[in-house]
Amino acid sequence: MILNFDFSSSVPLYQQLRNQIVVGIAEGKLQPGEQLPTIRALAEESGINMMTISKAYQILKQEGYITTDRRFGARVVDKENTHIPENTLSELRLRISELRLSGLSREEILQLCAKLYEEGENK
Amino acid sequence: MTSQLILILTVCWLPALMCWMLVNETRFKKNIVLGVTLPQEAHEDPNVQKELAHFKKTEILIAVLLTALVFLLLIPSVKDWMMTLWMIWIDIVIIAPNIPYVLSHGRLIALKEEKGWKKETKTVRVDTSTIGNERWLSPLAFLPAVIISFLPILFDHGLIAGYVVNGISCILLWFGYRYLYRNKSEMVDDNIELTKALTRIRRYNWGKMWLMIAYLMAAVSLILWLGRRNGLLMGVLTVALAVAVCVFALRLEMRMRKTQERLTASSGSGEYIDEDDKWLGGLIYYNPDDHNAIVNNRIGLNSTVNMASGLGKFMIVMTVLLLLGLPFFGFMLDGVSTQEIRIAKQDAIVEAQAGMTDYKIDLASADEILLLQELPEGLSRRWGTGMDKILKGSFTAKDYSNLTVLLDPTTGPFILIHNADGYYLLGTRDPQLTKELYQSLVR
Repeated sequence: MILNFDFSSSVPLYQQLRNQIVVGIAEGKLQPGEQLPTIRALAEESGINMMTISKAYQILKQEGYITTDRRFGARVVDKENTHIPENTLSELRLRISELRLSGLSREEILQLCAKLYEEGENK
Repeated sequence: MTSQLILILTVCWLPALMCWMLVNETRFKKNIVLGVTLPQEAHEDPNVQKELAHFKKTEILIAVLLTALVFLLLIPSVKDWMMTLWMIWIDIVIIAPNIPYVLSHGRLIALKEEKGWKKETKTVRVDTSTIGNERWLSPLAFLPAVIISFLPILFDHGLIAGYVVNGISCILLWFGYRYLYRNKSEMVDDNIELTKALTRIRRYNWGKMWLMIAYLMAAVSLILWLGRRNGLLMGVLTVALAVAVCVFALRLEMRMRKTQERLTASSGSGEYIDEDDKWLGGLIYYNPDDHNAIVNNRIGLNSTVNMASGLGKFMIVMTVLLLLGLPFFGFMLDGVSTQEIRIAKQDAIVEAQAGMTDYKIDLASADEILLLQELPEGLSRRWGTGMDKILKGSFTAKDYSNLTVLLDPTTGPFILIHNADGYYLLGTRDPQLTKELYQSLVR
């Protein structure tokens, strides 16, 4: 999987890493059980501080996307993540509100969601 | 004249080497030429080729001029300033060939923008499939070299400092191998297999280089031990080893470059990595976003430092100080070479003094004072100064295991004194003065 880090972006680097890994898992670029690079290796590769990488991994672990242990490092969870974090729900509410204010109907919003969902599956 | 020639021969090849290394950068490797990343379509562009040809000509001209310049040091009238001029020449050799490089790099960057070849790459790309597959050499691979370096201590205590330095160097070489390498994938484009191959080749050669240098250091210990009674043998073997190290390192670097050139010859037509904005003048890595202080050079095998880091800033200061300090150091050496040698007798003490060196020799316990017309056979320095016009410090000779020396070897005779502390060999720069001093000592 290719990760892109934009150092000039207003989105913090740990958030960029977290988001890309979540998208990567959803799109099947990262398979269940697949090992993620170690914090040190990813820091050396990208030039990003180890603490920043560690923070992203901690968030991913808290959200249930990855597991970590001393022996195998970080891995994508084997089972599907059924837990939806509260901030994801509030973010979704906000986005739906924005789409409604843009003049989209319920059906149009659902169609748009279905289209984006299928795009993710086909990648 | 002989020492001047030796001094010149030790460095006269440097301009040719610099020229060779820099001209090699006119061949595309990883889509980079003279530190500028260009797409495949630009590789054969007439303007690019013209700039590269101009650069080659300039570098060859500079190499010829600098090589000719160093032989001017053979002129007898500059002999007293030999070391100062020699050091200034080394400064010029380090700096001058890089000036056309930076200028050509700048012109190619301008051409890149003009032709629309510049890529907007704000992001850093990382391929997770190529990370974390490293396998480092075990420290045990370096252990035999460490043992061999220390081994002669069991048989010879005279050169113990040399053996210890070599042994410690071998240990430090392992640290160099392990920690002076930026563990980063050699990503050139989207071709993952190419990235993996380039990364693997670089890591393999990196280990090979440090390991080989460790074993060559072990060989230095053996040379010191085997040649300790034969200065000529030690000299010949040391020169041979120095040549072997240089040839080995250069061969490895050039083979690495050749491999990079061959494997990436067809890259640059689709997506490719362009990090030119992080390399000032194509030579200096400056990236405040990169947390690493040590980074790999884009071309070849070496590492460099991130000048935006604390270590990088420290290195800039040290490099500038070194370049400025070289002529000053040469000036000091020239001063030592011609400094006055004062030898005087006061009561039962002979005081021999030159610069910071000051020997006080007790005549009361002296049992032998001789006037030698020539230097003892096989006079060889253990530590101290050994220059054309001054010898001072601890020496050995065929018939003397330990001699404390202060003299001008070009001006005899010499006074040999043996007392309770050992042998002393002294001589002023004035033969008549030395003879008179001898007469006063034996009177």
